[in-house]
Amino acid sequence: MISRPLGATVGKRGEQRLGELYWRHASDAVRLAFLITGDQHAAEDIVQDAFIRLFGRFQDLRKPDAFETYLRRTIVNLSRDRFRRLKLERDYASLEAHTSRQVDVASQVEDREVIRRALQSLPHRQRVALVLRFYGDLSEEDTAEVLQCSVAAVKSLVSRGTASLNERMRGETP
Amino acid sequence: MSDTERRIAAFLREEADRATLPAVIYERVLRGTKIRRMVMPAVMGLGVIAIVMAGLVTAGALRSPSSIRPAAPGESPEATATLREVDDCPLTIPPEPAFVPPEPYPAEPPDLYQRVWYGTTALWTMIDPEGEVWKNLPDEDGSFTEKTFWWSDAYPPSEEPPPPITVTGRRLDGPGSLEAGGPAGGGFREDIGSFMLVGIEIPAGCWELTATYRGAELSYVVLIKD
Repeated sequence: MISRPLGATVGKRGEQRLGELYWRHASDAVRLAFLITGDQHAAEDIVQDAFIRLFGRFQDLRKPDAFETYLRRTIVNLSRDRFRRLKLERDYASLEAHTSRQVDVASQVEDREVIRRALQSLPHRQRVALVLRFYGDLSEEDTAEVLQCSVAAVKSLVSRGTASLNERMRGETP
Repeated sequence: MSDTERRIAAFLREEADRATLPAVIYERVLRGTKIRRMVMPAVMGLGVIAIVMAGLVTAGALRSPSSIRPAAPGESPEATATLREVDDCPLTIPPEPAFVPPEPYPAEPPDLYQRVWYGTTALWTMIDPEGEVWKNLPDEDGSFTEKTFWWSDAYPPSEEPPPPITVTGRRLDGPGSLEAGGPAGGGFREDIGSFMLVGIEIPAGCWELTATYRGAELSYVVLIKD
């Protein structure tokens, strides 16, 4: 059956090493996932899956010292998968319409709420680029490495994302 | 930095403080990592063709009547379950062979979860084949919080946000009861399909949890440890 002896493959030293990595990076990881998804439960699931994936092949990582970059990239990829899946769900259209309506009436709510909704309405890669650049303080080069694209593409994503947010905030702020 | 960029940066810094990291995630990560390490090397070593073949063979084996069978219509899962005493708590042990949900749900939960399906097509969940013991849960005001996951063949995710499922608890090692406070939620994962999600606050002790959904009822006993 599914019951298996735990501890059979991760020795104490290995577990200690993984524990150190987890506690060093998990808080930032859940914040990053939360900012990308806007959902605490989704962020928990994504962080959990990201660590499991990376720990499961930790010995195969080409650059173990670059764990943080691998982790960010995995979180971005998992959040992208989730975003795509949501998009495919039948009720996505109504959700999007609901979000649009909320943005339309955002002039009645606070600035934070305007930014939050505007950010969540951006395309996934634009949102991720803004989070990595303005929250993670990553350079354009490091952002490009996480997003696995060129620096020029990062500049474009940030520029378009910022312009889009600016437009929405100007239009929606009371 | 432009004014817009400054506003975005300030917002993101404040927003990030809303994210929390429950301690239970670490335990799940370790458990998932161990399972993945046991499963993945064997699969990776065989190559793509072997993966496909293993998938086909596994799918066949999992559906084999000799290993797993669907619950008979009207059969109560509680009636076929056994129990295992842990700290004087009669934990629910799912019957063997375990319940198999209808397509498109997987015949068994993925290894990551270390659980088996338990219930009927009208309402099922996943539980530890050796009994549910929860520990290292997030603690809030003396009670622990945990998410419970439920599935039903009758659950239409797009039509029931939130699904009308309730979860109640009866303490078996002393006086006490609980009722899920907030509304249920729905979710989807590729590996386990569409599910209903109910958060509960539960003190340490031995509890019988009962979910009710569209007239179907399912119970199991869980031990909550400090």
